[in-house]
Amino acid sequence: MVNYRQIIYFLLLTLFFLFNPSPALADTASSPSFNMLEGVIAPAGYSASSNFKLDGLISQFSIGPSQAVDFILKSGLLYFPIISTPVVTASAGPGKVSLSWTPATGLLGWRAGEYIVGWSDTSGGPYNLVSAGTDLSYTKAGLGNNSPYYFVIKVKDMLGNDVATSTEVSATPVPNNDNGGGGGGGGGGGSGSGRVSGAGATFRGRAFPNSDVSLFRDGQFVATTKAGPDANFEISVASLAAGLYNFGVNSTDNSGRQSLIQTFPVTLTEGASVVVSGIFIAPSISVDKQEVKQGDNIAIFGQSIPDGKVTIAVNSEKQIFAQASTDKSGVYLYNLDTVVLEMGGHTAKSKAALVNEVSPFGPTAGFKVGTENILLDQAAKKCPAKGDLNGDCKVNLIDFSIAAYWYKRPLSATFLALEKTKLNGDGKLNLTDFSIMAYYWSK
Amino acid sequence: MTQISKFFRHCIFGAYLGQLEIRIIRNYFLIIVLFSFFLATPALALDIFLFPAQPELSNDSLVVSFGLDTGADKINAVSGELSYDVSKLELVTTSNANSFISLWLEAPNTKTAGSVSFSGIAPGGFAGQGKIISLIFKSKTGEHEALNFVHIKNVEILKNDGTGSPIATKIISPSASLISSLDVSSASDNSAPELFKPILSKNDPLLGNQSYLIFSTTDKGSGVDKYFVAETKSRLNIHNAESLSAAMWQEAESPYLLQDQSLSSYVYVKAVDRAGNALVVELDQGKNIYQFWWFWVIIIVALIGVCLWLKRKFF
Repeated sequence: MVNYRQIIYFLLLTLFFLFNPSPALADTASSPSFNMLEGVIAPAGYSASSNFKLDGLISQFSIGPSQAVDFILKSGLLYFPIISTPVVTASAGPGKVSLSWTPATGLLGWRAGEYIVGWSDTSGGPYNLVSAGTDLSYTKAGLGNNSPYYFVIKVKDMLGNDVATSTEVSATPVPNNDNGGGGGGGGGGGSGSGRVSGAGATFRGRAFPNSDVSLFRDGQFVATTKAGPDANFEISVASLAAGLYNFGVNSTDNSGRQSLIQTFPVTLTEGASVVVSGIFIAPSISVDKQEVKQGDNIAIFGQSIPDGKVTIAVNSEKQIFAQASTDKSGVYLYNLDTVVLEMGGHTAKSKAALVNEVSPFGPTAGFKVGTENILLDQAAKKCPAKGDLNGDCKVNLIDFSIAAYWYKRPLSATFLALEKTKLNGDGKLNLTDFSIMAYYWSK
Repeated sequence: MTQISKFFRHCIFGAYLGQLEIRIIRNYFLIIVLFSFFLATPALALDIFLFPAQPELSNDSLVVSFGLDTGADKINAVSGELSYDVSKLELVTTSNANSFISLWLEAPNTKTAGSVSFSGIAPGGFAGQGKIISLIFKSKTGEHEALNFVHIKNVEILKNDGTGSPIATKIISPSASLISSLDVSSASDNSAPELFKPILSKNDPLLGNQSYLIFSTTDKGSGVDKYFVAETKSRLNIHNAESLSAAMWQEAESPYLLQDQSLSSYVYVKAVDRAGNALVVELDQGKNIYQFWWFWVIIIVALIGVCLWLKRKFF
């Protein structure tokens, strides 16, 4: 006999799992001031108004916003900003603007559920909103030429709550006949057929105060600029051929540490100018000890934007989060009490937030919790953790060429020793080792 | 309905299952677990696909490109193989034009008949929709559809996570909009390869204590075809075709072992794309002026001149 009740339960359960957002992915989070076992991700964030700030967990089960006349509470799991803001690329065409953006990356399994494109003919909005689903690109057509339009990308989580909004980017559609490719030479130092399209790209964002910001085109360093005291920068390239480029930006902090490259795929059409806006270079990070005696403090420090907040994630059996503020020069310091860490290897990484902008996580700094304190040498504080084969504190074309030279050849004892320490250490040279180098790529 | 909503709520938050009928849960526990395994972590595989592309040059007949859509993931290394039916297709050449892979460990090659293998990296990582390589065929049977006779094999894609974690892939049929966003080829390429800066690696013990020239660039229109290196004792005018043609150019690959290990020569690298456009760049050796032979020639001539003038004046 058919049990309809059971069938209904079965169907409902099936539907639930079919449309289930990425599951709860429970994890354990703690800091010196709190410990939450098996926390479950719910819509979360920090809450603030001009005269009120809430840093903390309101209620794990309170989903969605609560609103008063002058205050909005978005309750949730942790007060740490946990989702990065998208970096938006805007490219104007005749009567249209093509937008693309980097994915908003979350923490502890939280992921973006939907991107909303906001557009307006007035800077600051109000914006007309249209859903782009989970796509990372959208073309807004039907726009008037020669007038600027302003765009933002809003991020919703899997439960439909607004969790991040990009910085505004503008673009001005131009008629077709203004889009013809100009001339242009091949640039200094080289000779050739030249660039016929004259396409260009401009990159804007935040790095470290007064730092050198480098621009990479398909992995090649092409230009540099200086960020202002407020860490804002703008850098441009011109005279480019039409095509798909993988541009990247990184910065060097006040101690000479290079950040990871943040990349942005950009498709250039003939004569078009593209603006990539909202870049937020992740904080640099280092530690003062390579081994720390369990129970002693280890200093975690680095540089980011001035007067911002830095969230530090320490990878251990229990994921630990801590928050530090940056000073006027963007420097942050957090003394972590290792009493809560188990013996063995750990890594720390950090991300920064300023108002509504959140950077992605930066590189990791490794340390060991053991039985004695061993300071980290100065070179290790500055140099990439992996990939630097020739010891110049950079991972670039030279290191790639050295590794490529040994690819599919019997490894010498010297190179084998390097593979153990600077690559993945399996005694073989394969695609994984080159992937590690690509991750730590620098100027 | 109240019970059902309670059940969902408690399941979602991993809490006590409460007043629901344990019997129902027991009956369907296995099914739930199975669904959880297969459905709870959606879309972790990365989409890879073949698509018919526009000819990159006017003489290209059938072009099949290999692309991917990383979704929210960021990747940085790709290797793989494309096989094709040799009874139907003749491979004319391969192209890496417009590829997001900018450094090749193995540039697309045809070491085995009916197969093209490749591997390379995207420094800093790549997230989005991109093209990896293109294969350019001539039809042996007069058919104008090459896509059915090309297959993806042994693809390995690694995450940009600092450890090179592999990521699962799934072969899909791309949508028309996805194809049009990736297929930005034009039938003519009038642009030279992208400007680049060769690097000198001096006496590196990892390269046999010898000096090597290291270089790499990309070409958006038709892809870099070949590199040439010239080492000359006199300086060339890189903007003058006649000056450049006077040099002895040798086809080269990076890293290139310099013939003049004393590093007293001028070194030039020429990148040529498949359409024949060329870009020549000079190696900046970072030398001081006294390291050039012509500096000492000028000094000696000047000294001789001064001596002659002094002799004429005072003796």
